[in-house]
Amino acid sequence: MADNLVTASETSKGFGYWSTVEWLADNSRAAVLGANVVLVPNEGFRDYTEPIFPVGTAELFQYLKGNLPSTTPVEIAVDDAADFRELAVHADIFTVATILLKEVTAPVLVPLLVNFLRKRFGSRFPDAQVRASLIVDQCEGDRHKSVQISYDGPAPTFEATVKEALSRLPAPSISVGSPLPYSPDSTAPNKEK
Amino acid sequence: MTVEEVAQYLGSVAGRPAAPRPEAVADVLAGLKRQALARDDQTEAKRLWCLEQVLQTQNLYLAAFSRLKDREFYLAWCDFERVEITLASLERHDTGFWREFRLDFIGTQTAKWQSLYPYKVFTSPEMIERAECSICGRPTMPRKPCGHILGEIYDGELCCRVVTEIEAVLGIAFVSKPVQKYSVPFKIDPDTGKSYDHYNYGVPEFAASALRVPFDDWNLERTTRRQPHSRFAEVRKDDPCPCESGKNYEDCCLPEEGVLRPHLEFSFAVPPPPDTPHDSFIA
Repeated sequence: MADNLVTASETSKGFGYWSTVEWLADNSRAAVLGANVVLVPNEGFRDYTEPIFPVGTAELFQYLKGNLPSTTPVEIAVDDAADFRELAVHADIFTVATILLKEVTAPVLVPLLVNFLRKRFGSRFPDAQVRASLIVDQCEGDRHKSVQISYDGPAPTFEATVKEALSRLPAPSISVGSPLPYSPDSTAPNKEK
Repeated sequence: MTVEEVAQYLGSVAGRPAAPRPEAVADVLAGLKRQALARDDQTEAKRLWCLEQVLQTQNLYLAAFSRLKDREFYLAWCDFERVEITLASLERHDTGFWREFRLDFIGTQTAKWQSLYPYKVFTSPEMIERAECSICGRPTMPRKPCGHILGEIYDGELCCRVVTEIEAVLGIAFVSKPVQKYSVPFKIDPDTGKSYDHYNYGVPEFAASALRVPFDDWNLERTTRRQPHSRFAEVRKDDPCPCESGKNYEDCCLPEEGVLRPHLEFSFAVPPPPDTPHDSFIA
């Protein structure tokens, strides 16, 4: 595995965080919390404070919705067109929107993501460069821990490298996990359980 | 012209006749496409769009070669980039006529020409954008998509993402692999305040001078070879070595029989004109 292409670190920006961000409407927050896979924006790129998604996010969202089983709900952390802004970085490195996911979804999601990249790049796939982050939600009971796996490297080695990183994730520990701030059937942000 | 006659014209690109002019053929294709759409024949409209792209690709490649001959190297570079983009838009439509219309040759040669250029860094703006669908004009809305798929053909036109608003430019980075290859930085003349092309185009110039026509094949082998120290007489012992190893000259190539430099060895399917130099120091 190309260790220098991937990093993994614990993050506080799991489902609990993204389902309580103040710029999302209540119904969007609930949708985020009820999903297995969520595309989340970049916050604070350079000095820009509004949430932004990399170019290609709308296509990726449609692709995942069309190809993941109906038992795997997919959402995007944005309300509507008025809030949907895209960041175009004109280096020839395709930046995938950060994907927040339940750990159980990872084995299905990663190959699907590679198929999306193959389709997007066509014959250029072997030379393509990709930047992607997966925030993996591990849970035990109602305790949750999130680990961010970030990949920056050639598209052809993405799948094997990320799968290897996923396989190295330690089992979640209740002592370090935290409960989600509110249940999917609630629409009140930051409600204490 | 019928579609079959257009296809014959496109197939003869290597020895294309002077008439009809490519612009006239483009008009024929546009007319045929209108007729297909009037019949609501989406399959034929898509096929005609593909043929339009073939014609455009061939024209761009021929224009690039012509510009190389005229020493308009940056403009040729821009044409090669457009060849690349047009071929990429055609690729997903599995037309099966790549060889018939020489698109495989054009794609391969375009990449070879691009590899000869001296450009190493490019500017890359970071922008916040809003976009819409080129087919229906609806803004990009992930939750309420318009249904058109990027890269697909609708009514004989390519579905693209059209940027309608640039809300902010957050920065401009220098990158080695740009999305937009035309974004080549040029120096500014301090006296006039105008940009000028400061690059050494010796390599593409040599290749262009050795080729008589754009469809003669050629190849390139990249090796290294030691060049005589006399070519680097101005370099002092404690200067960086001209081989660009990062070491001092005296600790690197100076004790050797010459300075190790990149060497390009061209082979041409058709012998170059007699006045083409056999060996040439370019950079």
